[in-house]
Amino acid sequence: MNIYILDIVKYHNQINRNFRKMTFNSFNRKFPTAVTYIFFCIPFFGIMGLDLYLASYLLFYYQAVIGVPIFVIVIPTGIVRLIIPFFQPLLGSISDRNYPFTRNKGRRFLWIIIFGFQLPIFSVLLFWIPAFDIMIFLIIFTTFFILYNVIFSLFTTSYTALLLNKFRNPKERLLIAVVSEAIGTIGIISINTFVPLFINFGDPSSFQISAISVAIVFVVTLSFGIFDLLEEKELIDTYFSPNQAPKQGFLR
Amino acid sequence: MFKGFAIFRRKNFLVLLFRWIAFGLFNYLFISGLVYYAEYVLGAPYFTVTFLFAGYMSWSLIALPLSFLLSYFIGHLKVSIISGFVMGATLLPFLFINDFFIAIILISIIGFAFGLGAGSLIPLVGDVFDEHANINRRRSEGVSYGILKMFGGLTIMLGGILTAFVQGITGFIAGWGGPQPASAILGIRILNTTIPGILLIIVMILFTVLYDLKPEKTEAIRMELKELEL
Repeated sequence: MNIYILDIVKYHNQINRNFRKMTFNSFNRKFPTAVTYIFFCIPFFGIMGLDLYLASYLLFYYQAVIGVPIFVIVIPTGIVRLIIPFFQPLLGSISDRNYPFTRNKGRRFLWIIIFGFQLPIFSVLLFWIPAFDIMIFLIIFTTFFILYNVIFSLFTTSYTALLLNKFRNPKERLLIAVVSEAIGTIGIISINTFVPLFINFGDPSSFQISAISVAIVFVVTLSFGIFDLLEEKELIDTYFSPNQAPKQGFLR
Repeated sequence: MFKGFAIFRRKNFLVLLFRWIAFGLFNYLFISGLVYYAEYVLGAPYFTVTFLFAGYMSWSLIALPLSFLLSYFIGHLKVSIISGFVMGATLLPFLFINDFFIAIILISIIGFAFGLGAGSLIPLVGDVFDEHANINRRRSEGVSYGILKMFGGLTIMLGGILTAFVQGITGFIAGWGGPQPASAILGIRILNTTIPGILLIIVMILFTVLYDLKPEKTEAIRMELKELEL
């Protein structure tokens, strides 16, 4: 049985000194500057935009503009949305593991970059599937939709896990929460405001061009954030701490 | 048995999970249901939904910096509790009101409270994951956040089932642009406002009573984690 007692008394004096002003720093580094928070959160703009564009226009594009029967879209998207949530913990566990190649760059950053730059490719491809034959369309659409959702989950779980690892003081977490929420909301408002201006409902290419534009915005915002998504040596060392419990498999 | 699910043994995680599900259902039922509410209950033209959304979004944006200031002085836990109770209590009057302007005022209050809560969510999640890392002696934010996302996805399904059930039993006529029967309008009111409101209040009472990661404890956890180099 796991017996655990947190020794608050041991830390009592320090707590009294620290917690009111939230000055306790989990790292030896200085507290991040405003620029760090903003650049770390800029990708939220692209993430929200990309996801919202797909959620708002994918079904409409194939059903109302291309003329694909609605069940061909609704059945695979419904099944994928039903199944994918059950795989989220497994997908999240990928970035929790240490590998030899994560010793230098950290165990979150690499996955964020690998999956982050694949994500816009699949989001654009989802709008370029030819609909000459319904069966072929169904197979390609379902494959791309599954890939998009899996990559999106891998990206967002790694990103959020990094956010919680990198910013540990309550003041840091409050600031990052406020900045990320504000940038994400601005992303949602921007997509809702600007995309309808460029979409012509009778013109399929306007949806495809908008998808490319939204994907480019995602890539640009992710590129802006890259330097602040990097994991510092001190943070990487905590992943390889000699005091941590032995490596566990996901399954017992 | 999934080893990654060890976090389910933590009481604070379970309480946070209930809060996560309640807020997910609120998002699904209330925000997505605003269109139904405006069209059938308030009888307002379709474009007026934009005003309702604008009221909600703009006030939640305004609340974000205030969320930081308030959390700085009274702690993010208290801010989170206050925002949850305010949202729940403000949703209940929707059962009786028929006036568009009162609706906008109430929606703005909900948006403001939501903004306060959104600003304090990451620190709360961080506290719970830190506690798990401290007990488990290993950081596993990826799995833990994956579990939260899993329930987020399941909440959307639950919201869909709940919508179909309530609309079915109250006689909502789908694909019909004309007026709905009185029972269907009452159903929309209950589904989109009363159910999430009562759920939020119950969950926030549970949260207040059971959640024990107070600032002193979370600070001690962080100190111990630093000592362990985790």
